[in-house]
Amino acid sequence: MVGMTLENVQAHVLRPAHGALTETSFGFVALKDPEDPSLVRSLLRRLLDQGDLISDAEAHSRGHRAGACHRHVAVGFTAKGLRKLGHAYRPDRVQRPLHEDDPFKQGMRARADLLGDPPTEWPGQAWSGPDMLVWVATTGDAHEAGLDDLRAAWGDFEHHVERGSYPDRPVLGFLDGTSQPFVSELMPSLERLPGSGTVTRDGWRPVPLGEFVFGCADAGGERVLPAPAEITEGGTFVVYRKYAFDMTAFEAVLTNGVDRGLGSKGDVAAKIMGRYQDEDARKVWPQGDYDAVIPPDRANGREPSRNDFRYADDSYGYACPLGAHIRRANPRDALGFEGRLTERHRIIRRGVPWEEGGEKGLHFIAVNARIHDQFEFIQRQWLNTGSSFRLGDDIDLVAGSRSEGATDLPFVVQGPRPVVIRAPRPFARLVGGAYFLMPGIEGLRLLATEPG
Amino acid sequence: MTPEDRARTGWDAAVTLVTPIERRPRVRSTRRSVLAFLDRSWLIELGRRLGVVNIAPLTETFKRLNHLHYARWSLVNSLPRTSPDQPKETGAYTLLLFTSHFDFGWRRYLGTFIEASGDRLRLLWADAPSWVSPVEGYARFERFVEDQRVEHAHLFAAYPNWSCNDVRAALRIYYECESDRISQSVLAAQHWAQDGADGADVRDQARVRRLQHCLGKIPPIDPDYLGIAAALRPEVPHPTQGVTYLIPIPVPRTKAVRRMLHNLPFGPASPFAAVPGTHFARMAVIDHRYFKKQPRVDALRSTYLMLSAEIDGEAEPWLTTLLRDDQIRNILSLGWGMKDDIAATVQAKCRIAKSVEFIDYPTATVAEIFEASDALEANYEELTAWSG
Repeated sequence: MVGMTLENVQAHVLRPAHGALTETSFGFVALKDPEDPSLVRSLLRRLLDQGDLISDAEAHSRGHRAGACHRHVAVGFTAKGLRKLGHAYRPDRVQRPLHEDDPFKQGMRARADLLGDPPTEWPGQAWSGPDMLVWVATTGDAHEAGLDDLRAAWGDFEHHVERGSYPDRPVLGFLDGTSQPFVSELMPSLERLPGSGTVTRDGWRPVPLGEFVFGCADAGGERVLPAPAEITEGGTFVVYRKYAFDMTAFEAVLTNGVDRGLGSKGDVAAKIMGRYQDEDARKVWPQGDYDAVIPPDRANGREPSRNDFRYADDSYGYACPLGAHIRRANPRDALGFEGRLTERHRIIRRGVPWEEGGEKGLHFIAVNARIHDQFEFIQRQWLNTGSSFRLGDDIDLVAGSRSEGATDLPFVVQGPRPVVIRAPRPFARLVGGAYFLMPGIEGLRLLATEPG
Repeated sequence: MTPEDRARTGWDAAVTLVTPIERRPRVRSTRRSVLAFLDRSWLIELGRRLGVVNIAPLTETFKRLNHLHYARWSLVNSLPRTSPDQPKETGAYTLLLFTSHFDFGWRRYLGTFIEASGDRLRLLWADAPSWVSPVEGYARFERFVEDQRVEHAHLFAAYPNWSCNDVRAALRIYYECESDRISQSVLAAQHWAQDGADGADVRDQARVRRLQHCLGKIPPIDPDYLGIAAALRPEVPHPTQGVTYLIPIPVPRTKAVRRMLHNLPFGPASPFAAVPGTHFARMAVIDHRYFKKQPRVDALRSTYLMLSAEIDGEAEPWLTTLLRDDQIRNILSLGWGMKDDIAATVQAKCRIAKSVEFIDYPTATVAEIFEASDALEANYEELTAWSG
């Protein structure tokens, strides 16, 4: 069953593209003309036939064969896009939030107030929002050639393209995606589990596959499967958000921290992010006292994973500040109850950095099966307000936001010598974004079929 | 009421659940276990007698949740009867009444509650005829709880934009600054402290170190609420307590009651804002429409208006002050047997005993919480300017 599931999940969703596929393009397509749906079906058929649209299992298998793959494509649709292709999306009763509209049906832009998003003028949101996402990963040398045929195909539609690539240290100097949720169905060994699963009293356990893939059991013991089930089974929701970094604000807070005696700029950055920029396992925690907090059951003589840590032993935030970005975005056991309050609020991230004309930023991608419980919960409850962490109304400096804008933001560095530093603005500004449903591979085959 | 009003008055941050528990012989013993669970002192006593030390009180769970202002359970074995003309209820069940006020909205609160408590919620609701365990699926359990929910017709919160953690942090800063102010004046009377710049510096350091987990920026209490009478100290001081009344109303008058409740002003203009010492208050109509959702439960023969609040003073003067409001008095006068002294009748016959209650900050009055907001404003810049 699980094997069958992985054969049905699109590439990119559960595991990143293999290392050679360093260049990424996101094509946002609007279906305006009556013949557009037919053109989309034709494009899907071609991508399936060419082996561009493949399953996670196949992509992973190809990744182990050098030179076997120069391009992966994944495709998603908005609720509006699915409707234009003749398939009405309906949330199932498991995923529908009480007293709120379904996030996917409503769309990200309509939920700007809930998400604290400022007004945006992103070209991808023109034409009352995109209908379809074409997510292309290619090798560096093949990037331009690898896009030629797709460019020709997009040329038939209203479209907007975003591009990005993977340098070594993408996000404000930090590695992104260091701690991804661990799904046991994907890995033959549990080597990567510590730090990436769900923390429990006895160690770590995998995150259920249903937290990310429709039709599989989730952490609440249920299976999310929106209608039409034949399209969505094996699929997932993808949250796309384009962020631009405000390096001036970032530098200003680092300088403020140095002036207030917090050490070097690297030390201040580590306090804010919750990790050091370098990869030294012993300096994962901002104060470098990793030895003091390593869980005893992992102290078995083997060098611990740099991700194998908890927050329960640091409830006062002396090692990692309570407001550090990684602590707020993935609190592990920081909220008590042996991590049970965080298990249903995990996302898989597939961020891709971008750089254009001196500006830098991130194409933030989150994969989840229940948008309101996962991406939106993290954004609304953990990043946009500090109340859960005893931080008042403080927003996360890295990814928090307010619709009306946020200025003069405090960041409390707890410790024997507590200090409050201030940022002029959050470091990331939302440029635009949208919610997409990435169907299963079988669903894509159905979508590619002409009606009748 | 517009969606903005609902958000501003914390409308989605409160809930009332009414769960009929069947009174069948088999269930009677289970019902005792529910009672035992709810009666914490009885439970602790039982634990002591049995030598069981590991009974985790539910209140500990609530405290650790960090988002619960208060929660109250009441078991109602017989509904109030205020007039000989009022038909006797025939339903063979006990009502379990639950009211709560929390942060972030009902859906998120329920999710957190399920995640924290899991199948232990069986102890509270398993006697309900339609019980579904969270183990059978979170969403199914959420629907079960949703079926027990009664829509509020009116809601009041004296500080709707403050979370539990905001209240706690502001109070800590307030108490700390108050004690510091007193100690400063004592020290100032001693000549050695007058030149003691170092001593003052050490005191400041120690103060910031003690308050470092309260230094997130908390917005001031909504200025529209400043000056409301609810923020005054009641004449008869009392630790914060919850009060619940069920006022029986003839079924034909239900529509009129609903209409009058609908016309009550919200927010700082609410009648509850005029009663000193009112933290939160809510009114809800429990009628046959609600009981249609409950399988195998007899319909009510009267409608019951729930009036419930968390107050600083004694219940009786609080209710008397509330009933000085014409709108509230007119609504309650529609109840069975409400003729002359409505306050006395309601107090004597309609008050519901609570089985267990959790209040996150039971010793803080509304007045102190408002004073804490002022203290926060006055001291925040100085506290956060201190550099280790």
